[in-house]
Order: sequence, then C-alpha cells, then structure tokens
Amino acid sequence: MTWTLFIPELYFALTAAVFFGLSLTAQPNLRRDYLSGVFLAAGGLVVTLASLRLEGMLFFEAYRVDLFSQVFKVLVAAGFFLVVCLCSELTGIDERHHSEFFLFLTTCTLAMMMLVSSVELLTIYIALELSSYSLYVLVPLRTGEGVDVEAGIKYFMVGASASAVMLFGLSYLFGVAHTTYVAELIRVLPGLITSPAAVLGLILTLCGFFFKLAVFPFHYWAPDVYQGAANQVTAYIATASKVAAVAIIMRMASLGGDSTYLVHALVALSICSMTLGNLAAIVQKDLKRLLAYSSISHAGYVLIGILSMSPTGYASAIFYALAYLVMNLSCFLVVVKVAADGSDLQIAQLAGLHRRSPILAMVLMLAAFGLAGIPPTVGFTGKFLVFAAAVEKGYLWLVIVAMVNATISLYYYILVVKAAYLAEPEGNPPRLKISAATRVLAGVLVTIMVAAGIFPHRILEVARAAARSLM
Amino acid sequence: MSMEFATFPYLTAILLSCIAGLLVILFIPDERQMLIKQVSLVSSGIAMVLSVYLFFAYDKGKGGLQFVEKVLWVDSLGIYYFNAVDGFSLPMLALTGIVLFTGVLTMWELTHRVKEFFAFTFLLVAGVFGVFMAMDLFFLFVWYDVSLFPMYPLIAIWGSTRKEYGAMKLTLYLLAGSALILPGILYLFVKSGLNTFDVTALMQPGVFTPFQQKFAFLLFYLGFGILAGVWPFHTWSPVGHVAAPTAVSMIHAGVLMKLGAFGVLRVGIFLCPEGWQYWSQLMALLATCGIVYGAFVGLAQTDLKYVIGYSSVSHMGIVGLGLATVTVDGLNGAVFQMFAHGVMTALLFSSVGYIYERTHTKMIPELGGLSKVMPMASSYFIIAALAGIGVPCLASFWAELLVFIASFRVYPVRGALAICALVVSALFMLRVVQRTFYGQKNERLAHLKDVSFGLGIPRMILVGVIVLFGLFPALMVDLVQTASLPLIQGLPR
Amino acid sequence: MNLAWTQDPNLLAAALSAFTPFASFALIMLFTRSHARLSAGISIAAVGISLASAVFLLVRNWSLPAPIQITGRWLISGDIHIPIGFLLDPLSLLMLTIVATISCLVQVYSLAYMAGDPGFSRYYAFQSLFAWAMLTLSISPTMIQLYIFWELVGLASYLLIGFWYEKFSASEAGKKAFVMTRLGDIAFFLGLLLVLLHFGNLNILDMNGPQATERLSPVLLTVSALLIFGGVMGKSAQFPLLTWLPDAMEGPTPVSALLHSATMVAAGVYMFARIFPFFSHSGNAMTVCLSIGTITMLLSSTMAMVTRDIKQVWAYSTISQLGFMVMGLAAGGYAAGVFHLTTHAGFKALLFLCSGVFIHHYETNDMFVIGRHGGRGLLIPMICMTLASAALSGLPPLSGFFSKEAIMGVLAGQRNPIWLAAGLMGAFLTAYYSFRLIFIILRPNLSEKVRAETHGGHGKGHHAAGLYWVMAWPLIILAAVTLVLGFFQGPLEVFLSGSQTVSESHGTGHHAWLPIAAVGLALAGTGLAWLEFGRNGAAQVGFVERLPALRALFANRWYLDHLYRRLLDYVIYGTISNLFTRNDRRVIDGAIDGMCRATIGSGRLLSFVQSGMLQYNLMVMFAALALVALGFYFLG
Repeated sequence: MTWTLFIPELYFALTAAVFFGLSLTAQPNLRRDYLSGVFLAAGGLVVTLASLRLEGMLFFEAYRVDLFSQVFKVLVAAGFFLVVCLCSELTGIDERHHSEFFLFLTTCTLAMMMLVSSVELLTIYIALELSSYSLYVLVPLRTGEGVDVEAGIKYFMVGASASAVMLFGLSYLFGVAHTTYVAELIRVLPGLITSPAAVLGLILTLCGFFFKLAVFPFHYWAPDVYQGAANQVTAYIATASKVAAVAIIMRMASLGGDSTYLVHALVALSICSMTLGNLAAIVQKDLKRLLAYSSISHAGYVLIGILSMSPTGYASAIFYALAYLVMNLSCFLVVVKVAADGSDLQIAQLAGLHRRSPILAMVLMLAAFGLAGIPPTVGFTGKFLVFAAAVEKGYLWLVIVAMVNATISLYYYILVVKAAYLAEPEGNPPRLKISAATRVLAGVLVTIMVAAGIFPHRILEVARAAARSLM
Repeated sequence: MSMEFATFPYLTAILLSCIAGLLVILFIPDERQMLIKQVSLVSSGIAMVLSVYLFFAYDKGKGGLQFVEKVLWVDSLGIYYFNAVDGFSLPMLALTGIVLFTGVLTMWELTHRVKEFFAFTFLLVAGVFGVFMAMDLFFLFVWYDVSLFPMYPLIAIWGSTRKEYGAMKLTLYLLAGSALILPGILYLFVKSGLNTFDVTALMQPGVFTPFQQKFAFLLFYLGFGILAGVWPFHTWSPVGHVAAPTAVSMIHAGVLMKLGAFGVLRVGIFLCPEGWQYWSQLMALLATCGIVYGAFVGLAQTDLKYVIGYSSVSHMGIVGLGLATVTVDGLNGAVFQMFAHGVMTALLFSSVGYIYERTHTKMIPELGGLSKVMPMASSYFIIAALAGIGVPCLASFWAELLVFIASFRVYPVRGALAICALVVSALFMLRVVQRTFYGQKNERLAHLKDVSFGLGIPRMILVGVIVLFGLFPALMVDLVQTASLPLIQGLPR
Repeated sequence: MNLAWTQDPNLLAAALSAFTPFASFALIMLFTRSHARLSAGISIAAVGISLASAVFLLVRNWSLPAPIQITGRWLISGDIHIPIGFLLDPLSLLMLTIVATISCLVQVYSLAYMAGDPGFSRYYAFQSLFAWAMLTLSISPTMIQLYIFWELVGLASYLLIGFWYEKFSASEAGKKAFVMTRLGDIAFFLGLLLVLLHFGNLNILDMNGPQATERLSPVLLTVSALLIFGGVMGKSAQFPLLTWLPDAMEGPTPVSALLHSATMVAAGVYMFARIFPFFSHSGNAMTVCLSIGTITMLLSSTMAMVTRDIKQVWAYSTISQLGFMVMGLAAGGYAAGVFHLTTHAGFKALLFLCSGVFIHHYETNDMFVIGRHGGRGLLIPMICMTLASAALSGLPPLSGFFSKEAIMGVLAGQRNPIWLAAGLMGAFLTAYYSFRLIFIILRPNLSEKVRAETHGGHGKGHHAAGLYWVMAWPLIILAAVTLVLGFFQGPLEVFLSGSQTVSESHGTGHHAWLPIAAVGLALAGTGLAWLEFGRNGAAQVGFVERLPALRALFANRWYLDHLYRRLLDYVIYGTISNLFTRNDRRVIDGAIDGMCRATIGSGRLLSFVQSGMLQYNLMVMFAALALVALGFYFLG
C-alpha cells in the first residue's frame, strides 16, 4: 500500500480543502476558523508523528519518504501547529480573509512537506514554487494603518529572480548529468564535480533555497517582509519555511560530495550572512526587523553545519533547525501577544514587560539568550553541535569567527532582554491578559528550550539517524 | 589520578540546593519577600554547610579525585555528567558556599524586586559551583556560561553607578572570553581522537602534541584570563564592581574572578601542561604588570569600589604569578590566594555596601570620620584592608608569602618587582582607611546607625575565616598540596 | 608535642609568656570591649603572667649550656618549611624579660594615664596585641617567624600611633610609620628570600653557624646582609628611614615609651644582634652598617638640640641611641651593643614615662611652658627624669655610663679613629640636649605675666592622688633599675657570650683614657647646657639657635621629610600613578570602547545600505553571484 506513505500530504491537502470550503461561506467567523485551524493542525502534527518511521519511494522514484524527510515534516507540521495557535485573534488581517489566510498557510505547509520529500529536480522546483506563491499571497494580506505593498513586491521580485537563477542552475545540472533524479545525481555528480558546469549548476540551484533561508545575498527581502507581513505570517515565514529550506539545502548540498570549491563558497556565504545579519541587527528598533536580521545570521550558523558535509554536520544542522524553530516561535509568541493590535512591535514597547506579564518576559529572555547561544538553552546545544562538526572538519577559524559573531549578537539580544526587564514604561500600562492556553503554550516552549538544551540525547539520536538516511 | 566514588552524591546535592532554591523562589509570589529571603537563606545555608563539610571530609592521605559522580550523558559525543573534587576545587567550593551564604545575609534588607534578585543569584551560583566541580569539559563550559549571563540583569537592575554601561561591558567582555574557550575545547576534543570530554581521560600524557598544547593553552589563557582580570584585560572588573550591588560585588569579585583563574588551572594547565610551561614567561610578565599596575592605579582612585576593584586586579595578579611559576609552592600560593582574596574582597564589599546603603556615597572625599559613626562597619573594612596589604596571621599573607617565594625563585626580577608593589598597596589601602574612617566625626553622617547584630553575622563569619586560615595556614596548604604535588611531578621534564 | 606541653617547663613557660597576651587580645576584642576596667584587668594580668614566666625562664636558664630550640610545624609547602616555636638562648631570654618588664610597667602606668579615654578597652587590646607580637618575636627560632611577628609589631605600632584617630596628624603619623617601615621590610624580606633560596633554611642557629660562609658566596652574603639590614633601618629608624619615629610621638605617651623607645624600635637592633655572626661574616656589610649607625646618631642628636617638644627630644635621642647601638654592634661589640640596648630600654622608658606625667599634668608638650608652669613641682618625675638624663648622657655611676663605655671601647678598637671621634661627639651632644631640657624645666626664667598665668595653668592638673601614684610607682622602679643595672655589666656579658661563639676581639679594658674622655665630654655638654639654660638669667637660647640657617636645618630634620614628601607627590602620585590611570582610562579601556563603537557604527551603515531601492538590492544580489562564479574559475 504505497499511498500510505503519502498520508501526511493527503491530510494537509484535505485541510486545505476544508479551509477552501470555509472561505466560500458568506459571513466570516473568526472563532470557527481558529478552532478548526488548531484542531486540524494538531491532527496534522499527530499524523506526521505517526508516519515518522515510514520509508519508501513514490511517483516513479521522484518522491522519497525516509526518516530525514519525515523528521522535517514533523518539524514543519509542528511549526504550522504552533503558528496557528498564535492566531486566536488574528488582528492585522482583514476579517474577511481569515479563512484564506488559513488556506494558504496550509497549502504552503503542504508544499514544504513535498519539498522535503521530493528527490527529483522538477518536483523540488514545483514544490518550492508552490510554497513561495502561497507566501507571496500571504504577505500582502495584511491590513492596518501604514501598511504598504512594498514588502509583498520586494518579496516577489527577489523570490522570482532567485527562482530564475535556480532554474538556470537546474538546467546546468541536467545538462551535465543527463538526469533530474537526485539519486542518479548522487551517483554521477561526484565524478563530474570537478567540471565547472556541475558545481556552478549546483550553486545556482542552491540559490533558490538560499532565498528561502535568507542567506546572503538573497536576504534582502527578509527585513521588509518580516516587518511588512502580519505578525503570524512572519512567524510562519521565520520558522516553518526556514526549516524546510534547511532540509532541501542539505539534500542538495549532499550532492556536492566533498567539492572543496562548493565548501569554500558555502563558507564565504555563511561568514557574510552571519556577520552582516548581526551587525545590521544591532541598530534595529523594530523587534521583527531585528529578528529578521538575526535569522539571516542564524542561516549562516546553519550553513556551518551543512558545509561540514559529514553525518555529524547534517545531524547538527537538523538539531539546529529544531532549536531555531522553537526559539523563534517563542519570540513571536511574545510579539503576537504584546502587540495585541497586530501592529509592528517596537523594542521600546517591551518596557516593563516583566511586570505586565512575567511569563512572557521569561519566555522572551530564554529565547533571546538561546538565540545568542547561551546555555542551558537548546540554542547553545545547537551551536555546540554545529561547531563541533565544523572543528572536526578542521574549520577551527570559521568557528572562532562564528563565536565572535555570537558575542556581537549577544549585544542586541541583551538589549531586548534589557527592554523587557529594565526599561520602565512611560505611564503604567495594564497587565497583559494571558489566556490559560497561552500560558500552557509558553510553558511548553520553555520546557522544550531548556530540556532539549540539557538532555539533547534522544533528539540527537533521531537527527543522526535522519542524517544517515540522507547519505 | 586516583578516584574515589561518592557514597552519597554530595556534589549534586550542592547543585540541587541552589537549583531547588531557584525553582522554589520562582513559584513564590513576589510580595512574599520574607519567605523568599528565608528560602534563599536555607538553600544557601545547605550549600555552605555541604561545601565546608567536603572541605574537611576530603581524605588528604588518598588525594586524587574524591566524591566522584559519573553518569554517561550523551554517548555519541562522549559527554559525561562527571563531578569530582580535588585539592584545587575544594577551597573554591568552600569559598563559594561561604560567600553565597554571607551574600544572601548582606542583602537581607533588599526590597526592590527581591524574587528576581535571588532567582538570578542562585542561577549564577549554581553555575559557579558547577564549574568548580565539573570534570567534563562540556559541563564545565555550560556551567561557566550559566554563571556569567545572570551578571547582566543582576548588575543592570540592582546596580548603582553607570550600571547599564558596566553590566553590558562586563557581560560582553566575559562572554567574548568564552568565544575563545569553546573553540579551544572543541579543538582538544577533536584532536584527542578519544571522542570524550572527560578531563581525566584527556589529561593523560601524550594525548596532545606539544604544538596542540601550546595553541590550546593560549586560547584558554586568554579566554579564562579575561575573567581572572589578567592585565591588560582587566578594565571590565573595576567598572563592573562599581556598578554591581553589594552581594553581587561580593560574589563577583569574591568568586567569579576565581572562576577565570580556576579555568586556566583546570582546563589550561591540566590538559596542556606543556603549553603552560611554554607560556609561563608571558603569564609571569602580565601578572607582574597587573600587580604593580593595579596598585598604582588604585592609588589614584577616589571611589571606594574602584579602589577595591583595582586592588582585586593587583591581587589576582598574584594568583597569576603563582600559576606562572610552574612550581608546587606557586600553585599552593595561587589557590590559597584565590581563597583568601575571595573572602577578603567579600568582606570589603560587604562593608562598603553597608556604608553605601547608609551614606548613599562611595566617594572617599565625602566620607571621613566614619569610625566614630559606625565603628563596627569600619573595623570590618579595616580588618579586610589589613588582610589586603598582607598583614601576617591573616589569610592572604600566607598566600602571598608562598607566591613570592616561588616567583622570586623562578623569576627574580619580576618577583622582586611584585614584592616592591606591596609598599604601594599598603600605601593606598591605608590612605583609603585614613580618609574614610579616621578624622573628626562627620556631623553630616552622625545620625547613621552602626551595623546591627543580624547584619553583622555575615561579616563576622568572613572575619572568622580570614583569621582562622591566617593562624592555621596548614589547613589550606596541606589540602591544595594533595593536588599540586602530583600535577608538578607529572610534568614532562 | 602535646606531651611536651606538660613535661617541659621551659616550653610551658615560653608558651605562656608568648600566648597569654594574645588570649587577652582576643578576649578583649570579642567580649569586653564595652567594659573598660575589665579589659584593662585582663590585659595586665596576661602581661603579668608573661613577665612571671619570662623571669622564671631567665633565672632557670641563667647558665644554660646550649640554646634550647623547640619547633612545631606551622606550614609546609613543597620544600618550604615554616616552623613555629621557641629559641631560648641568653639573647632571647634577655629580650623577653626586658619586653615583658617594660610592657607590664607601661600597662600599669597607662591605667592612670589613659583613665577616662573612650577607647580604653581598645587601647589595652592593642597593648596585648603588641605584647604578644613582641614577645613571640624575641623568642623566634627562625628568621621567617621573626619576620612575621616583626610585621605584626609594625601593625600594633600603626594601630597605637593612630590610636587617637580623630586627630589627622595621628592617623597620618601611623600611616607614615607603617609605610616607611614597610619600605625597610621589603628589603628585609628580599634578603631573607635570598638566604632561603641559596642557603636552604632560615633557622637562626644555622644562619649563625659556620655553614653560612660555606654555602653562600661572599658577594651573596654581603648583599643579603645589607638587604636584611634594610629591615633594621626601617624598624630602628636608621638613616634614611628615620623620620617616621618623631612623628610617631603622636601616639599616647605610654605607647611612645613602650614601642617607640624601649622595645619595638629596639627590635631592629635586636634582630641585628640576633644574627650577629651572620652579619659579621661580611666585613663590607658591617662597615656600611657602622657608617649608617654613625650618620643616624649624629643627625638625630643635632635635631634634638633645637626642638621645644619634650617628647620630640626623647624621640630624637632614641634614634641616636639606636644608631649608637648599631655602631657598637657593627663595630663587633656584640655584648656591648646588647648591653646598651638593655640599659637604654630602662632609662629611655623612664624618660618617656616621666615626660608623660608632665604632659598629662600640664596638657602640653612644650618644655618651656611646662617649665614656666612649675614643672619642677612634680618631685618624683623631676628627680627620675634628671636621673635618667644623666644615665642617657652616660654619667657615672648610672647604667648608661657602663653601656656607653663598653661601646666606646669597641669603637676605640676600630682601625679608623673617625668612628670613636663620632661616638665621643655624640656623647657630648647627647649630654647637651638632654640637660638643656632638664634645665629648661628645672630653672625657668619666669617673667611677671607668665607667673600670673601659672595659676591658671595648674587648672587641670589636680588628679586624684591615687592616679598620680599609679603613675609614680613604675617611675620609681625604673629609676631603681637605672641606678643598679650598670653594675651587672660583668655577669650579663658572661651570660650573653656564654652561648654565642663571638670573638669579643675588643675588650673595654685597655683604654684607660677613654672613660675619662667620654665622661669629660658628657660633663662639658652638661656644662654648656648649664651656661645657656641653667644659670640665673640665662637667655635659654642654644648656640645652635643663634644661627637661623642651622636652626632651620635641624628643626626641619635636615629637610628629609620635605624630600620624601616631594618624591611621593611628584614621582608616585604625580607621575606614575597619574600616568597609569590615564593609560587605563584612555588607552586600554578606550580601545575596548572604541572597538564596540566601531561595531555599532558598521551596523548602522549596513542596515542603511540594506534599506536601499529594490533594483539596487537585486543588482548586489547578481553581482555577488557573478563573484561566486568568477571565484570558481580562479579558486576552483
């Protein structure tokens, strides 16, 4: 029964259909959409978890289901679920478009699940475009004062050019290897890897995914889109889509075998991304912009894990993706809850958070220190694993650069913590109303951040297995 | 290195007493301040009692690692939850316990955001304890960072002068240090090829080539040295001290700076002995600079806390000098000095803190004649100051004696310079004492009350410790020797 | 060890004598700070016990065959052994007795002198601290233990000088004393380290033994000896570190009597005598010491000739007498030096205690004022002080005469006559300034108006007779000692040389003319003093005071203090400290802050570039791609 392998995707397709149905109904109903969203997403998470151990091939070997893909499907589904949880009151998006919002969110998730599983270049391209286009629609959905379409345009333009470059690269790959099957490529490419066309093709192909991951030089969209999109959409872009991008980049990079040139290129890109991201983040006033830049720098850290081109490297990258997902979602939890009116959250607005909502303040502090790589959070463990893998490959100096970057990044993360814990707000803003559900959510996030940081053992095992199944 | 597995997990108990304290405090509502203080007093008391008990329970005859707890944590990376103590770490544990307990007592009058204060403090101290007992590089580093980042809120929220600047500077500076340490640790982990972070395994001779040792030791020396206030990476320390609230200054100058020196010892010297020998010349040079420099700069300060800050730089220089001698006496002296300086500085800061809370100034010119107003507070400070200038029969005298003998033997010129700095340090300490406490009764401060008995207790404890180890130095040196002797004998000739 | 406590009476007594004052110090500090009389009782009882056991030891071991040494381990680190224990030999026994006696007398005396002082308990606590340190110092078996308690004695001196800390001058003087002696102690410490590292241990008996010359090269021996002598310079206020002692007179007079004349400052000389053989191994070192002692003696006696402050006079004379002792020792007169130390302790303490009575009674240090207010009215102090001054100026048959003669004899034995000349000169000056003081008080020229105010002057003086006698008894005892001690010269020298294997090369006998010359000069000095101050209608202006320049020079201590002040202000504070501080702020810290500012600035720049127009962004994007592609052809 091979179609069982496809159950998660089918499930999300159905979910999409449901929301499509909802979007057809006349009067919008926020509560209905939200609850159905939460339950369906939860169901999706369960389904993906259940299908974690599935393995097999589909669609004429174009679609591979293995631990690697399933792990990432779980991550994506989890991201989706958590983001949906944040949509209790979906301010910042017009009432009439709520069900569309959920619809496109679901399609995007579906696309990403296909992305992490597809092992055939055209399938990959289609999946990627599907997810991108859903996002192209989601970003401009935002309504509210002072919102312009620039973010949407920019996102689309950069994305379109990235896809163009990628197609160009794909054509090269096909040209040199005469196949679009990744399995074939893995067999053929290492032999061809010395030929310029192959490497160039690979790099250009990667560009498309770098765009998703917002790696330098495809990061331009990130700050504006993060700021311009509705908070929940940003949360989704910052978490789920990043995870999927990490997955596919790993798959493609593993094609390169151990081409020194590919590695050099990746090293250069990672250094550029993290340095640029960190430096630019220092001066940001808007929390979402700041997170955008920090995501650029984190893309750099992830690349360090990937460019090690070793199982431990990939495993560490997977772990890092998880860490990144959790920490960023925690940040956005705070963003969404503090900016209840759906507006952009200035860092200054965090003032007095420790009194307005101690639990949110704590979540924010842990997340910030985690992103800065301070133990005992999952962020530190992730960095530790990534760096360990890199040193194993002899990139000590790269690790030192990364650590210096981490120190720089600490500065602006501390500024965020400082705003939440030290700054006294003008006037006396009321305590935030935090629903019990949110408290639970916050509790869960904190637990994962700390527990996964202190007891990385089990997760690491899974990640290693996944990485092995990749090779 | 012989190992004695623990019958009862004392070390974990120490850690738990801090972490439990932290968790309990987190679940107490903010307004129950008294309860919070009592909880923290109890858990810090447990920590102190346990650590002091271990100090005396350690079997000097057997030596080696004792009270060992070892659990496999992440086998794929060879990470162990591996706690043990030896002659080097026991004094540090005892010091931490004492300073924590006295620190909690000195902050008894705190009313501003009590809950968070003690929560952060316990997080910090848990980290400190962890570093002192961890025999696994991964955990050592984790604890190390855990002990650093709470400094930011602790200083920035409860601090005084230029607190945000000081806090930011301190945190970034120190964590920049760990940006060198982590690569160093990973480097050794990879180069050893043993796939383990277990110190006892990595410290076996022949695991690392001389070059690897020299390289890694430099990383560790710089990384940890920043926290140890090694000249010229010391400037964070006076600023941080001045900004920090009393208890934090106590813990910070008393314990945290020792963390750096201890890191150099436990990681640098244990794993890279040849690197140690190779760089010892440099270490001695910087240490001497620190000693002389700190004394002279302290001479020009007018802020009580700056004075203490620079005297700490000078005293930590003595620790560095001791480590640089690569001799048994030097090591004994250095570790003894870490302990003595910790207690002494804690006492200094607790007195200054008291004075500051009452008079709302730390500027020496605005004070004066305090002995008439608050004799007890003054005498505590004076005793600590005397200990600071190496008066015999107070703890730090012996430490300095040993270090000076050792350093004079190995580096005659630098040793002599360091010894001459004693005059300067005496000059500036006595100057501070005279300007602050002597002279006509200061009418502006006449209404202030002296230290109450309750607030006196922590100071008395500290004085007691100073005098005890001043009269019976063997208590300390015999213990440290159980660790330093094998270390030196194990050195490649 | 524990067995020995009960079995060996020597050990027991020694331990008692050294330890009881510490116990009393601890007791007073911890418990009885608020009960003045109780504290005083404890302290005096403790020092009494010490005295008793000291005397017991002295009598028991009067003719002991060999030094008794008992040591326990205090600290062992690597190859460094620091024992703690006792060395009982004639010298230490003698010193022990002297210290105990005078401490006891002074503490009794202080009962009256310090009566009603708010810091009464503190005073006695510090007294006990001092007694403990000083007694342990005098029976130290090793130089390192001696050094440790040497430092503690310095601490006690610091605390006692600055006892009235609300007086700025007092705290200043205490600080000065501590730092200046610390300066000498550094040299001392370095010397000890040299010996320790090259000789192996610091055991006094070993250092005095013959091995010293075998294991230490002559140069090293000289260097270390000179460095160690640095300690003597500091503690015994030898040139050039002598200016702290006059200032130390800011402390209560009993303190000056005990610490800064009789015992503590003598510790320097004692240490010199303690390792006398070690010093005598190096001729050059001895010569240096001799010259330093001489300079000190002459300088300070000149200073003593012009001051009006009664305590200052005795302070200067203390310095000069210490210099004299150093001369004696350095000239090889071991017994002579130690003997002079003994006698001097007696009569100098006496002098201070007497002037203490005057000061306490008239509340002034100015000898002229005291004289005008009828100081001679106080009979016992007046008599005792005259007696003591006579002893000080070496007039027979007082103790000072014998000890000075002994040293003169030694000096006469020197090849170079200049030392003897200097010594005689010193004798003359000493007689002059001491009797100058005596005559000023004894025969004041009372003009009318002064007589009028004398009645007012007596205002405070009326003490309870009890207090007066409490102060008087110690005087009488010491006076008696001063009278008789001289005649014990013979036995004492036998006792001292008994164990010490010192070649007393220079007997005092074969210079018949010497005593006459010395006494003659002393008498001449006295006569001059009489002419200028004593006889009726004397102008009471000394011959020095007639020369303003000279007077200023002497009164300002040869401008030594100015020199030191300048050094401190301009070199230490002004230059080094200042420079280092600037460097710390500007260079070191500035660099760090600069780096941070640069980082933030670059961040601002980058984020500005980021928010450019879309097409530029795309351009950069493709440019970067092109770079990657190009890079491939060159790198790949």
